[in-house]
Amino acid sequence: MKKFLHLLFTLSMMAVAAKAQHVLASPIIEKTIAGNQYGGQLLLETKSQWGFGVFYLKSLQRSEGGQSYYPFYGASLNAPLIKSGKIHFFLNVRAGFVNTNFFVIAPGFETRLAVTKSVSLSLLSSIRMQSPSTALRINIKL
Amino acid sequence: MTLNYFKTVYRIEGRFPNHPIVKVVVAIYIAAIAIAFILLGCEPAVDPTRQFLVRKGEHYASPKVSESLQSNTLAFDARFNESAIYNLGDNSLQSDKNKLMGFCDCNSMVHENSARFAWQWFNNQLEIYAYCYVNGTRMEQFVGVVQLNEYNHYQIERNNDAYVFTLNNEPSVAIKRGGTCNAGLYYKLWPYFGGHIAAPHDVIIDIKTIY
Repeated sequence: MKKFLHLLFTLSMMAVAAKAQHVLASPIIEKTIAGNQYGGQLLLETKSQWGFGVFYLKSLQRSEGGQSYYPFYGASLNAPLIKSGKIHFFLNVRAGFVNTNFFVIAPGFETRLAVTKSVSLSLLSSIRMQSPSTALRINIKL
Repeated sequence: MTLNYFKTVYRIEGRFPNHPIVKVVVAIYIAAIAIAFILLGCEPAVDPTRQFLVRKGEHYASPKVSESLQSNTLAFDARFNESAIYNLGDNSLQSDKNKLMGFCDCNSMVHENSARFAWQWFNNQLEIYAYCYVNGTRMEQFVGVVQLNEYNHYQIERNNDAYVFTLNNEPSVAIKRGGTCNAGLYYKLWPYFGGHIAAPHDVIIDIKTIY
């Protein structure tokens, strides 16, 4: 399964990279039911604002059941929904592995506020561990 | 661009200049406030306790929950009440195992490779069992007895060779794991009444998942 996902990811990455207009680098902080997680994301974004990239999240402290301590990493897909002035709305899906073995899909809804041409803030509301989670990203256009 | 420039523009125009640096500073302020809200919020995000109800005449519990396992250990606290007492009038039916909680192993279906805690009301007590399917073969092993109306701690650890079941501080029970993959989807399994016979009356179970 990992090989298949790796192939799928590589092909998708190549397709998006061919059309990519810019790269967004984003530090992330996310509050989940199991505690806070920190990490980053690299996103290739097309002119039509479809985004595809990779992310990595990890907690600094072990939770009681240990679920948030192990890193969550994988691929992230952004689909544009509505654009209104400086505020953009996206559908977001993150898929990846926790603790190297456990496949996880986390759907979400992202609200992005453009601050300058190269800096924007994103608030991502998603479902992690069957519970709501909130993430904040500071997107820097490279 | 110096601080004096901003001060001068602010003094003359009554506002900060429309400059990218100002926007970045504003963004940093907004981000700092948002981070503070996220990190310092004292309220827990969500109460992880769910009350499951198996209605009379049904097997599956509601609410229906779809969730994947994300750790080698599934840990939870569960509480039964008097609704766990039932009499099916036949010892072979009475000893059918009702399922409490567990998970399907890597990319497997429930009847291929899975590990769950199971329970039965037998000999006037609530008995807890380890209940697994290993390469399609069912395996059961007695784990312990719990009291009604109190939370007990349940844990299933998945290691390379076995599922290790632990109830409170009692000795663990290990059941050999089947030949399956390691990386993939492990989805959680939730309360189910039966066996063959559906719930004779409403059954309520409180489960607090430990993340």
